[in-house]
Amino acid sequence: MSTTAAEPTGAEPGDKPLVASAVNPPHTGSVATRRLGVAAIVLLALTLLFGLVLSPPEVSQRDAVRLMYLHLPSIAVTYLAFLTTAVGSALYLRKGSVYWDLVAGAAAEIGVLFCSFVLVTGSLWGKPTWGVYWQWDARLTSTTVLFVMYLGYLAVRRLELPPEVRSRRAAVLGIVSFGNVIIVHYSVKWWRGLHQGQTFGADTKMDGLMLFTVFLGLMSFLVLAAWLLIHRFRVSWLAREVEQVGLAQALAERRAETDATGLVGRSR
Amino acid sequence: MYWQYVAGGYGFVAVGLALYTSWVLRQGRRLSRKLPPERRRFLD
Repeated sequence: MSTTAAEPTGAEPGDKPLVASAVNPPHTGSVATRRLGVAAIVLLALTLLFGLVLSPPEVSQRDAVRLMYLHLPSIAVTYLAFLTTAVGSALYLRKGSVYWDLVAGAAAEIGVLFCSFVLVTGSLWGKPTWGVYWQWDARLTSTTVLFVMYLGYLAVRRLELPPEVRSRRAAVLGIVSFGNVIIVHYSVKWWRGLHQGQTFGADTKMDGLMLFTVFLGLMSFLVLAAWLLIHRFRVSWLAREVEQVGLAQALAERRAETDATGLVGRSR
Repeated sequence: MYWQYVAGGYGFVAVGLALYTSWVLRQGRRLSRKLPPERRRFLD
């Protein structure tokens, strides 16, 4: 005997609302994220304008230099995202708060996305500049290892394990993996390779408009990454809530079913 | 000069961002519909 009736909606079972909701808009947006989103769009449009139109070609790299307006901001966002994962992981292990675990996971996903931008734009820049798309240089290799390590981190987060065990393992991996960010950053100093040294330092010589475009790209990617991080965190949080609501409903249904059939009295 | 590489790089980033952004937003809508408003505390 069942206490529930199937809803004739025609939708997939997983997509049916668990509880009726028509008051708040069903999405992860808020006033703050809308403002941040508008700022990201404006900054990205300006980056495109300066990166593709207003900034001049470089003497030796010619127009290939325009790829640097995506490549350099992408690596900065990658570092920051993986740092956020490490800090979130450490705070999760220290405080046991699931919020930090979700922040760590959201940041890692964004870091992997921007790391893929680093690898692809760098490779496309390498062909006209170095003559090859790829070489197993220390910086390129360590960046690839970084990308694969965080893919592994994301895979660990999807393992079929008890949530606490999974989160703890992911947190340890999130902290350990950050060591490779340091290796990537200093690889151009520690090993001689094809990749140039650090772009920005005390002796940086770059055309004013080019430098401005790099920082414009950096600002636009940082704002965009923050916007993505907030939305991705909310999606993870919602997924956890849906899981809990579903579990509570399943338990209530099972309890009602057991009460109706009188199994509780007989088993005791 | 080298515009094909530039177009490839900008295209890859644009498509990557568009796909990921739309996936995140769609997931948010799909999951939000399954919850009562009081459980969406970030909307307060």
